[in-house]
Amino acid sequence: MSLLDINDLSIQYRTQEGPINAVRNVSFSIGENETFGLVGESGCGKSTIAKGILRILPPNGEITNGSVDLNLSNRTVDLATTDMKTLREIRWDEVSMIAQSAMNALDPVYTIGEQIVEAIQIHEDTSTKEARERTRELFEMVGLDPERIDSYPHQLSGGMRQRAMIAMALALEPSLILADEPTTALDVITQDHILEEINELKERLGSSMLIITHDISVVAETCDRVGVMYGGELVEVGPIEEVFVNPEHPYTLGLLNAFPTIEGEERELITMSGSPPDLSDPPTGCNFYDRCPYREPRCAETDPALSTRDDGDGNWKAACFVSEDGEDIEATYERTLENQELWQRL
Amino acid sequence: MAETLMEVRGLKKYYPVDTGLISRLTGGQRFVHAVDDVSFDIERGEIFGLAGESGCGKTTTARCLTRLDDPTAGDIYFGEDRRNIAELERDELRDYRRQAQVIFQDPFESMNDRFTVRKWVREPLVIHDIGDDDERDNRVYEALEQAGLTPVDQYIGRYPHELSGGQRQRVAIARALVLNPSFIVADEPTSMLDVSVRASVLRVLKRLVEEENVTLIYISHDLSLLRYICDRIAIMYQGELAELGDSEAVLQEPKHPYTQSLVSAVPRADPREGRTRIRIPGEVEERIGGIEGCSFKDRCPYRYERCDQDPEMYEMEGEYNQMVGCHLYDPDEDRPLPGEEAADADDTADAGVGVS
Repeated sequence: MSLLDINDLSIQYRTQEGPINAVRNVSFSIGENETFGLVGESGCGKSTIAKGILRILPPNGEITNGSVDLNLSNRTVDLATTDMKTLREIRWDEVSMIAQSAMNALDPVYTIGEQIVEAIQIHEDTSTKEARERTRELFEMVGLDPERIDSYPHQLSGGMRQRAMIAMALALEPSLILADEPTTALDVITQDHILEEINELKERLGSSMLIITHDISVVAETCDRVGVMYGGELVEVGPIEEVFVNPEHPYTLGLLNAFPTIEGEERELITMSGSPPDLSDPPTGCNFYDRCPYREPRCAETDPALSTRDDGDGNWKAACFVSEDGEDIEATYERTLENQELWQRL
Repeated sequence: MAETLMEVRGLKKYYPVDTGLISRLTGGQRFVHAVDDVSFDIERGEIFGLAGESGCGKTTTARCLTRLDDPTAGDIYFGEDRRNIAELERDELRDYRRQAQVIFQDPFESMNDRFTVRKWVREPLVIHDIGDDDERDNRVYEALEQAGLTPVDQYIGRYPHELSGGQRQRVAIARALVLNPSFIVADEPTSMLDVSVRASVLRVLKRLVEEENVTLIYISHDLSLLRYICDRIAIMYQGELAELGDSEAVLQEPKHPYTQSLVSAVPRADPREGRTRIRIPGEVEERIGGIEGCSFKDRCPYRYERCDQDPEMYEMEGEYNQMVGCHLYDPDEDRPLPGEEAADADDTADAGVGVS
């Protein structure tokens, strides 16, 4: 059974110009001990989903449809509809979050130790001494000097702060950790250390994880499965070794084509022209229609739903009529190059 | 052989810390050595990458080369007449700033909200008092076209909030181009942009270099990206040059222990590719005052007694113009080269510094 089942989730932001449909009918599951990556470009709705799971959306944001079922050992809770009391119990204890900017997430006037001890004591009846002892152990786990327990956030480097943030997220051994761009603000060597540590700790604690990032190489190295988002919708979902090797949605292929790699044959970067759809007035047909080199008339009329692709167990899905009909998108890479209007070489 | 556009010799830039009255009176003024004795050449018509982690001095170096900052010491010889940029003043400096332009990282902050695209791109012509109204309009059109904002009429009357991030960055490029510069510094021009937009901005820059005979310094921490755009790459660490050479050589066969670990830390987008991490302990710290000897020695798994002296840039054999600032590459040194014995966790522990 999966740990988290998101079903038909839709989230809207109310604005003066009318509602923005930031997330539309998104469904996916995260299994026990699984690391699931959610990738996409700015405004695709990936961070909104994380905020929706914890119900920490800004005041003008609202879950308008769907369910977010968290399957714990003794009960199932729908995070989208449950009462605030249950939600408060679950936050941090069962579902915790590593935010992008630890500097903003940590309170500057308390030491990092005080903040973690407080988080532990809100959820568990432990003495301060015990909680401090546990904090020191957590620091060691995340590669932070336990002597740093009495430091203030500004006394730590960016990498150390992010480690403190991870220690805090792990403090109550949650079932699910949400990581929103956990390494984006860090330098490459620090990022590498932290990703490696997150991987090890996740294994050790047996937690599941949702990593949200724009960086497909981070997903490729840390995740078991990936969901690709575009314009508020999930366009492809499946095991990374399928999705990132033989993409079944043209947008996934577009992302991979535009992403530079440090190794291997030096190929050209290919860009998609145009921009994502207007989320206040989403198109009737496929979201990607305007930018798609494979588009057909039917794509403008009907919005394709996610349908199962060939990996045998229904684990891999894409929302594209063309690849559903058996066209191999990857194999027609050369054809995309001919379509200079839509896809341009660097 | 390509012609040299710029020769940088012994460039230093120190920023004062504790600038308070007492430390000034007591003479206790201390300095951060942001750039500490850096020398390299830039060839005309090349794309030169300046890479390294935050605080390594790459941006400060570029600010000195464009004289947005005044170097503390060193010489920067530019152009055919070999003028020393570091010593220019007033009118000469103004003249240089017409030829040398900068494109900044943040397309959301670098543009004036109340200016239309036309006014913003035109402003440098007004400041430098170039041309009459018609000529200025023509130049603005041309620059916007070169920056790929076409059809120009559709964009020229817009305000910043009516533009996407990629479009704003193109406006910034057009503003840099309007003075017909021969030298452009682009400081992380695409790091705020999404991947699909990023590649199109890179294409515009690349075309400029190929067709307009512009020389470009491209600053970025993203090595994968630099590989696609640069002819040569310089890797900086703690204000000093660690390695310099043709992009493919520096990234595929890094020589300096720092470059080796930096390249090994870049995540790979292909899930089928594995990689061996060369882990180094510690983090880059801001250091006040200079560093005796090699700036990387405290984190280096190959550290030995010679590292307490400053390494020179040793030239490598072969056709990749590779230079490495590490004593182990001294032809007279008979120790094994970095990477010949893979650095493992034990080695890093031996370096005597824990992972913090």
